[in-house]
Amino acid sequence: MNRKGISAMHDAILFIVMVSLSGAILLPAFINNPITESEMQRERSETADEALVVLLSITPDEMEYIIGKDIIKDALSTGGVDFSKSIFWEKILSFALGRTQYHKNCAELIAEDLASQFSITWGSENVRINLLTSGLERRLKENISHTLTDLLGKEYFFNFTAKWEPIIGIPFGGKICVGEAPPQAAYVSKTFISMPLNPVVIIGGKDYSISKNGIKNCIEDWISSVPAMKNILDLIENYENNPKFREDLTKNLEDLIYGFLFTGVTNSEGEILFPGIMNLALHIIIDNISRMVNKMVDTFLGSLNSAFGDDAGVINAIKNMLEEQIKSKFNLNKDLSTEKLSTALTNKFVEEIKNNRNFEFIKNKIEEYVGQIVDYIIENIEALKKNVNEVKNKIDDWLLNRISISRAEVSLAIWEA
Amino acid sequence: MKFIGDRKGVAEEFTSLPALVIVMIGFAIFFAMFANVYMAHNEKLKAAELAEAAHYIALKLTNAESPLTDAPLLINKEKWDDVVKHEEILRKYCKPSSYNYSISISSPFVSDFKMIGGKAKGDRMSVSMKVAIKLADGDVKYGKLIVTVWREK
Repeated sequence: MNRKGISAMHDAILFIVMVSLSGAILLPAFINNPITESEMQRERSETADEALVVLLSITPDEMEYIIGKDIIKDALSTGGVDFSKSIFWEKILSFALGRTQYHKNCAELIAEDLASQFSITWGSENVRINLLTSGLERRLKENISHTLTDLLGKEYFFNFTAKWEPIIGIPFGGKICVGEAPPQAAYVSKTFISMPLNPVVIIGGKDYSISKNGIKNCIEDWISSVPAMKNILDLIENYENNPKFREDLTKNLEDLIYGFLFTGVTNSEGEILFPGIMNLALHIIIDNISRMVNKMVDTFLGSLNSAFGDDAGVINAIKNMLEEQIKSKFNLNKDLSTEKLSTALTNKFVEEIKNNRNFEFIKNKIEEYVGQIVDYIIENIEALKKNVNEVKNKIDDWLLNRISISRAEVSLAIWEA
Repeated sequence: MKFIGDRKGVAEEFTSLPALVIVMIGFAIFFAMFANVYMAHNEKLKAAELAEAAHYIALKLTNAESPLTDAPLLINKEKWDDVVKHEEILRKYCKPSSYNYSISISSPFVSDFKMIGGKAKGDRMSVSMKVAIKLADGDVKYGKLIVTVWREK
């Protein structure tokens, strides 16, 4: 054995220890500081939040548009006027029907546009019924794009989406989208804006408050008198563990949700207790469009001194044009009166959901909602049998969670350029 | 004992000197680097602390309770002008211990926002926050609130 080798071994051990120590101590100097990275992420996320809040608060510049420009342009083209070449018509229309928004903030303008779009996915296409406000929407989109580009600079790409779906998950209401489709790794900020709606809708001489609380109170008033609800409570009280229980419960809950959302809820005498959310939403949209048409006619007549006849004549002509458009788009009876139009449209929509393959995803969604509450009831059947009020409360909440009639969702996604 | 007592081994002490020198140089370099990393780390910490303080102040000045705002992130020009005249309002509302700060607004739409707070001294850190600026009822524009923070000596 050579003892001289010991000193060499000590050196080697010392060397290894020193190198390891140096590595451990100096390592943070050579890699990116993880704190900085998390701060960067927080900053990006805050940038999205700030930009969205600021965008919704500002009053946009140059919000000038012509009401019904597209419709009038089409009508003039049919009459042989080449709109694109005629500055005269553009000037006349701008003078008569031009509007400038000075004081409304971006959130209010977005909400107004969403409420008046009357958009619906019909089969495979997205149909926008109300073309009166397409000018407003164009200007609004330009303004949103310009403001966000200024706010975010060249560092970020963005996608802004505002969506009003009175029945959550059902593509009916209004939508505005600005920017490219976002990638999966984007920073998203979300908030809600109030819809510019009358707080009360009158249908068949009855007032319906459209706030969440108003609808909750309304449900509490009628829920006990609805045959489907009575059946559900009977089924739970006389629970028997067999497949028929699930089948009957599902059927009654489906009746209840279709009634609440679409067809309307009736009592055992056939009296309408609640007209259905879709019906309420259609009334809101039609009210909004009517208000816009009335304003448009006021401006028009004020400017041109009744050159086109009396107010009622022009209002009716525009209303008729919209109604004709709706009837032909959805294959509705041409002789339908205005009062029956929204009910007929709702029924047509429900018929399509149930029978048309293109609407299968809506049917599946409703089946999923019903499946969730059926599972909950079966899992907690013993407790619920003893406390029927709990079932009622649960079903109230379940129905309310399907709607968002008085507010729209707004989101901003940003990602690095 | 035989190994230690072996007089022929005297020469070995001299041969270990170069190795000792290398080790000492190694130690010296190691401690120099260690000190360097420590100082850089310390600087980073100080900068991070300043940034954190600036961020905290910016958040506090833009929330709904701030004497400058009407709503979160909505600066009111009138309130800003009041605070320019009476800076103590702002100091009462937000005065982090051992830090001082100044605030200003940058916007393509307005240029008459006066800076609030004194001139920065020594190491400083600035953060900016996107804000809406209410110039009058129905006239809201966008801009940036810039907060500059430094340590009080």
